[in-house]
Amino acid sequence: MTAAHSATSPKHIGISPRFAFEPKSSAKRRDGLAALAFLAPYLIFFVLFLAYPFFWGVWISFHDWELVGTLRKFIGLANYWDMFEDPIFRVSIRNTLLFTAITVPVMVAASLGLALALNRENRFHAVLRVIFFTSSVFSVTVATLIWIMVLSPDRGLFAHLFNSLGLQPIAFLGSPDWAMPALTITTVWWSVGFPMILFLAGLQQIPQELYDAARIDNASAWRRLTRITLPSLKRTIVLVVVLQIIGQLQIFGQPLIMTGGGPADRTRSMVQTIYETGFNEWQLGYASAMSLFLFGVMFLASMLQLYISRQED
Amino acid sequence: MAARQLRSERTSEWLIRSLLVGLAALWMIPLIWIVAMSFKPNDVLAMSTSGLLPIPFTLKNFSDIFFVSMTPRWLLNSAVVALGTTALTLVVASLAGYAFARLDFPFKRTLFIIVLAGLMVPEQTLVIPLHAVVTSWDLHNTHFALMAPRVALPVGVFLMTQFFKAVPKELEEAAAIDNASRFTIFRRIMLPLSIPALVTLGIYTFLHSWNDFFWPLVSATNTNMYTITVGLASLQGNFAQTEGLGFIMATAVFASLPIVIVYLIFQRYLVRGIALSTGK
Amino acid sequence: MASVEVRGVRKSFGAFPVLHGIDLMIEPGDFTVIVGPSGCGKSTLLRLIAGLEDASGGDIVIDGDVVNNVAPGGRDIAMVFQNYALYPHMTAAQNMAFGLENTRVPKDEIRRRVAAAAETLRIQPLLDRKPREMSGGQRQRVAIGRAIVRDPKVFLFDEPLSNLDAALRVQMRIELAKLHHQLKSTMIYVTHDQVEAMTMADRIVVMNEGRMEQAGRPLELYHAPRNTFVAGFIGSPKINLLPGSVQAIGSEGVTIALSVGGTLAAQVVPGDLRPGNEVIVGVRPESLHQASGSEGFAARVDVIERLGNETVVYASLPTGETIIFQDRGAGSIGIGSTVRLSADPEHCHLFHKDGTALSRTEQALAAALKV
Repeated sequence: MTAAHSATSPKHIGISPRFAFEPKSSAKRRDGLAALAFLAPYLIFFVLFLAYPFFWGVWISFHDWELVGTLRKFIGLANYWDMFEDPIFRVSIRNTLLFTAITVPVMVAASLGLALALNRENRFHAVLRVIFFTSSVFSVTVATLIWIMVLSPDRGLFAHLFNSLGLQPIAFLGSPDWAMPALTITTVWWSVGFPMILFLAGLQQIPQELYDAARIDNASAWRRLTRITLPSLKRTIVLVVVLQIIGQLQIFGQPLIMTGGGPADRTRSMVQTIYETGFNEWQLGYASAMSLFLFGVMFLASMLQLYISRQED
Repeated sequence: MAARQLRSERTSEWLIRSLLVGLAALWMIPLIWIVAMSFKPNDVLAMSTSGLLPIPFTLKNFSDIFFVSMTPRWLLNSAVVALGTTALTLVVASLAGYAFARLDFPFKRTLFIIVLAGLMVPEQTLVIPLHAVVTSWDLHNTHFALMAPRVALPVGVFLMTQFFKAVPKELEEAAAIDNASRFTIFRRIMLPLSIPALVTLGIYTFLHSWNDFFWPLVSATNTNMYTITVGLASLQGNFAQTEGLGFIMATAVFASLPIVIVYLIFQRYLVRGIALSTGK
Repeated sequence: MASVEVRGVRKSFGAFPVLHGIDLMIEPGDFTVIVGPSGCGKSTLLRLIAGLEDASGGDIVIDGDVVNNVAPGGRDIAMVFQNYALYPHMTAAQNMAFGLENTRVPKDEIRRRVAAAAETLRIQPLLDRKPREMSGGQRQRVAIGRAIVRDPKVFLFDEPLSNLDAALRVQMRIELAKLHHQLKSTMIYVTHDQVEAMTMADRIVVMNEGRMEQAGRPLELYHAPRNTFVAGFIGSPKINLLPGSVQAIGSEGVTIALSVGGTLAAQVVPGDLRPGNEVIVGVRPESLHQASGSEGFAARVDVIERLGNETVVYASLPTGETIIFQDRGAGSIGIGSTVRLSADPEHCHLFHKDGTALSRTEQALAAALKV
């Protein structure tokens, strides 16, 4: 007998206890019970704080429902009809769409450009990646505080720059023309890091051999970019565009804190109107209907992604 | 010709590098300026805010945070909420992710699709009904109310499911032959293997929870229950007139410190996690 | 040591059948190798024995007990996986101890068994290392060690050597054979490599398309394959299969007119074979020799592989098929030349047109086994 064998004194110590022998149906059921135990903690949160509120929101959107007080009157789709007649909500839809239309292209171009420039494995590029992502970790309050200061007409960085050039400083946030672009700049500075990382991840998945082959085929850097890199990134580009559309449609903190929606409601966003309808005017039913409209718009945007990626396959 | 091409590539390489350095400097200047102001006396700032160096230098703004403001209380709230949310998310998401990835049970597909559908519901559109629901349970102005909605988000479950699916099946089979129970397999094999994913999910959750704005804004109405993110916004309300510019900057710097430290320590995991959550 | 019996086991994945009723008896202490091309169901059969899959029908019996409804951990088996499946976050020692901890073996006992297994496999220096700090061969040993410490009734191996390089594979093959000799446990080993099967097995089971083609001792399969599939699968280089028709049946054997021209004779029991029947002649490369005159058949030499100890020649027949033979004439053949090849009747196999073999005569088998 071998060493290994003689070491195993009680002969069948490896045998499992008798209860392991059991009919198949109960073994299957035990897997089901285990699944229940594993899933229950999450499902409790999911049901109570996501699914239930969502459907509750649908329910109260059919009501004249006040935050405080006892008014709960079923009014069918009236909230939804009112919404489109409501000049405040209409202007906030317009502003939100405009902001999205300006910000998304800038954000996508900036993050793609940064990713292309920073897609190298060395210290220099690694440090720059950290720098461009760092601003993304700040809360919206800190990011807006910084840019309120930077853009301030009497003590901001731009004011110092303009003064030193002998120019009259611009009150960016108080100007009907400049307020929206100022919000875009703030937003790009604040959150360019996330799409940049997505692009970097996409770039990393392009096999190096493709570039090696292209160099041997005498392709210039420009052709490598347009014929290999960009086509390979198509899925990521679609993903980033859609995520950005969904994200920017929900803009809230930047205008609320930086301009209060002004000047003259020029930067009032949909979420701000939802917030004020719900918590300043206490009309939860109406605010819920607006929320669901916003949800519908974003749902269409994600369907767009699904549709485009289907087309490719 | 090849040599010329190489040389031109090297030139453009240096051009790009200098552009990047310039852009990075532009990116950082607002931050440096804010940090500099936080170390300057308020009366100096009232005269002029220019200069990227903290001259003259003072620590009074930071000491004021502790003695005359609610900031420590708000920071504590933020820490409790962010850490609590992170811990809860890690526990529930890893358990559920394992079930979806590896257990066989009735209606698994349907349930998974329902949970994933939750990904489609944007946080902002849930705030109104969530507020009504939490009101009916009388949970506003509690730490738990600030944590729970984020724990309910399906992102973590999705991430952990993807991760557990990628663990080779043979490991679990080997463990099954080694007579390990479901829970033993989870605790002794799957959890230790998923540490990188858990760190990623943890830091991601922590960052988002710390920076949550809309929900704490409407749920925590009692100033004692403000998180630092909401608290700082309330300070800004009338800061245009305020004399305490340095003090506000110090509060912002101080409030961001934990999150920047967490980010710098774990940035490698964060970057990988973002790639993981969307990579096909 | 335990017997393993597979009784009428069937398995389908959805509507797709992978095993069509397997019956197999494995004696206690035997080293059984299940061999077959990929997709033949051999790994599925092993996983059914392990309990990692549920059979669609039939029984798995280990040591006399039907274990169909017993979880893998309760079957008292150990398994070595193709990719070793070592727990990456545990050291070698922890990997080996894991199974014992789950069955609440006392700590001292675990330490003793791990040490003993490490000694047997000469992996003591690796005990505190994690899998990623080991080479493929070392991981392989730890995986075997993890199986040994359990002292299971049956060892199962699922293509354990396929991820090793050629030299290491030969070495591990020898060590596994030695290990079996030491432990004398029942071992079931799955591979697609017939060399592993031939060198290690007490008994080989050849599978194809979810069916068992033949089971037997290695030389039995080599010399008396039951059909063309087994004949073709066992032996390297591969057996030559030449179609033809029966010309004459005599006391010396059966003479066959080959489709490529020429004749060969085979010493087989003719049974109800009649002249004119279509048949297939099987000749192993080492049984072919160069012939003179009108004996045998002709072929044109395409490629010559000189391996030192032997020279393998690939030649083409007029029909375009390739024939392989060993040249013992020490380099007398040139590429492009035409050779005449023949084989002795006692070395030729004969198959019906459907592939089933005619049994070889006693004398033929005796002669084959003497070689």
